[in-house]
Amino acid sequence: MKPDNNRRSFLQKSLMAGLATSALLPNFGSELIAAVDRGPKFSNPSDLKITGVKTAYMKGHGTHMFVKLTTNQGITGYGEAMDAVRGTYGVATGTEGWDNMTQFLIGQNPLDINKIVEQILRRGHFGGAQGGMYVAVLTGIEIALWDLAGKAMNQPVYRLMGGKFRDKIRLYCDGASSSESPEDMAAGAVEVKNAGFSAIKFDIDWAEDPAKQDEFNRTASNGEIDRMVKQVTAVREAIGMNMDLCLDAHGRYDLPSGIQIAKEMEQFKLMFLEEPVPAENLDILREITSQTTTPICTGENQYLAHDFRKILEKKAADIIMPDLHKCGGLGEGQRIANLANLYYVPVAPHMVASPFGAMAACHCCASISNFLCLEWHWFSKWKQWDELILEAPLIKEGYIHLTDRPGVGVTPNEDAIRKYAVPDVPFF
Amino acid sequence: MKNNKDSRRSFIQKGLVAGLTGGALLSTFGQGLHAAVDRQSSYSNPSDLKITDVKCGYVRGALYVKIYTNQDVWGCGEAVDAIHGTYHLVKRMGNQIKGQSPLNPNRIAEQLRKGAFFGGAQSGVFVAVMTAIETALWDLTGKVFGVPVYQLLGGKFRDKIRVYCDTALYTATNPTPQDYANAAKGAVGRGYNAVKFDVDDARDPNKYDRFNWTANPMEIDRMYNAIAAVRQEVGPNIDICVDMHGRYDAVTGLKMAQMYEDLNLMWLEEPIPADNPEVYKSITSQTSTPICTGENVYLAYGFTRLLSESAVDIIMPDIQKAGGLGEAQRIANLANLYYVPFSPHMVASFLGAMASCHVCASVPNFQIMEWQIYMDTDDLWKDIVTYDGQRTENSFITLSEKPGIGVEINEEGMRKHAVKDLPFFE
Repeated sequence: MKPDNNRRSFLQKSLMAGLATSALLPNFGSELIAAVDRGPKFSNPSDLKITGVKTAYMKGHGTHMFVKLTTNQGITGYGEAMDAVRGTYGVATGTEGWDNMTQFLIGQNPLDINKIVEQILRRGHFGGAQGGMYVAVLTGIEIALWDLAGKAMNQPVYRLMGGKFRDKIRLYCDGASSSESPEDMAAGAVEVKNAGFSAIKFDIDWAEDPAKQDEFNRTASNGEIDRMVKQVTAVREAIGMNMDLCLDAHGRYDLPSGIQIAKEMEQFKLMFLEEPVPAENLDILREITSQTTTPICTGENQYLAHDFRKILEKKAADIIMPDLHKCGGLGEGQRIANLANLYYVPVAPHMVASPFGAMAACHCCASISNFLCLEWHWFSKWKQWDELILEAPLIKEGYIHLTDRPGVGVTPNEDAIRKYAVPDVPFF
Repeated sequence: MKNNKDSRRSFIQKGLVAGLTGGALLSTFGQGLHAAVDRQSSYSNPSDLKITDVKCGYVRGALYVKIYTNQDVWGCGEAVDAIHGTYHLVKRMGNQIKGQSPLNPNRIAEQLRKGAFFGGAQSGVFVAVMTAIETALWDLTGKVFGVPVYQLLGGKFRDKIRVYCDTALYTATNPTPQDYANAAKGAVGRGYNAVKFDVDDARDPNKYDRFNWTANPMEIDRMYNAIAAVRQEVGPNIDICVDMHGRYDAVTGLKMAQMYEDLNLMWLEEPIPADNPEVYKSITSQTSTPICTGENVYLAYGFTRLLSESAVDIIMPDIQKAGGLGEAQRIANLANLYYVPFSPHMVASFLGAMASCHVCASVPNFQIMEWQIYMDTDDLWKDIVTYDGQRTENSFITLSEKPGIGVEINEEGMRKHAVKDLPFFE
């Protein structure tokens, strides 16, 4: 679309032409009026219609689902959904001949995003719309709708979400894995710190820990807890107390272990401990939260504002971390955050998407008052990561700066994504 | 923004014609959206737009705020009821936001609230006044970007907003059941498919005590018979709401709710005062009459317990009091998680009415909004705003598609009705 070039040349020529014919001389100088007058008239009522819904699946951090919405006016919206999207080709689109979201979207005006989301949720009332994969796939579409609406109105997405509270989004960097030695973990932490990040996260669950006594039992042995403490001790010593430190237990422990780990970690003054127990039983999570000073965080396996309402009403967690590429989308993420704000609970979204998805998440993070920090998963691990968008790398000194480019503001690089496409699934 | 239409039309026409003859855009012409995008304002990012002044006027029970900028574009907002004596508060808030970009309404509202943590920002007058400013910021932002406010709230669910007609048959005049029936007939005759009546009467001659809030059998009969006459007049398919204005105690509130069950109300409003959600829960759980409250509840915080305790069936925040358009949307979204409909209280001018409509359009669980019969009959309500279209038609307001709220205040028309002895947009 190259809007910059078009815009510049068009504006210059038309303004010069306008001046030459004295068309606007009485009003000239009232530049804002002219600017408003030049505003797109496609928003209300609009002839913009969705003409195509395509998806692409990529192997990266697990499975990424990219959505591409095409329209009758030459603009394209992209979205991305994560994790709970494997094997969902026929849910969003596909040729199976039965009901999918594409049939509903074709011919729709994309500008009323929340309405379209609600309609798709209601259509799926008996088809899994309460959580999980249906919601994750919908999330990819929802983000594409925001991207499209932003481009149609030439506004960054945050503008359509009520404006921004901040211009740059603080990141925490997901660091080394739990199988590393304390020394290697500490070295990785220093590397992250030196790159300018002000917060870091480590995994502490390790499925192959030799100290584990049973493959299925969720109780952490003393040996496992000792390993965790040694790792975190080394990291804390390396980065000091003023860098924020988070730990992720991936929901792999039971109630007694969850309490024990949270209490053992109190000395390290964590920003949060994530998912000490699985996601289903919030009463148990509340039990842990109420017994420790370590802030407890959960949310990447919760869907829609309804799930978060339960967490918040029960005071089951201190911090919530919806995954904006799974939980229902940017609008639902904003509603979740607004709800959390009523309970004085900060929001630290889980994020394992591509740089495109990261930038999409940033628009939501900018639009809420209780944003804490956003996850960033790909530090020095997968160098190809930056090529997944057409624009320059996003991160500067541990922050992503919002841009005022229309829509999400960055564009997935389809050629790069194709290189890692899931085989045997249609690509866009 | 004067002569907006004319200048826009002439500019675009001349600009396009000039562009075409110059051959500048021939390659992309026909791709209308590209051209639209290319024509878009470049003031949004980074913007030089700044708030330069905030002025206000008072008409009856309403506060009108106008936010001025350095770029010939302004925004208007309105607050009602909890705004008496607030001229200096408006000025103070105005000074706090001068020099700022107006384009992030949620952020500015949060800043104002944080700045008044010890200054009453939890509810009441402060929140109401902030509401007028917040609303004006949305109006301004929409105008700057050339989009209606609902688009800044995530798009619309509906194009037309259903309203019910408050008949304004005030109980101070001691109306008879026949008066109620006649008023209902009048409203339905104007096309309204839902009506609301007050039944509380502080001056009911049968009252034994001015302060005790228990209704005696004669008062209860009066309240029941009035609405029974309405139901008989309008038949089963017109929705009826009843408002008790929070003037009774739990005993009377429950009794009336149960008595009204056979009249199949849309809701019974504020049978008790607004402060105690537990008592609301008690009444709500003991009657099939839907219980509604909210016009005296502020911010989303105020609604959390009403909703999490299932204390009410329907909520009715006043979008000109509760914290603003953004906060009203957040309240509706919260209620949606409890399958509770959102039915805003509304006693504002058509500026406030249309501002409310943008919120009502933007949420799935909108049910119906209030409208007052005197807005159709009293010229004051036409004098104080500028709006070309029909206001209500067959119980619906058509959502404006103009940039911003879509309704302007008419300062000259308003001046005639302004509260005396207060500065008027000075």
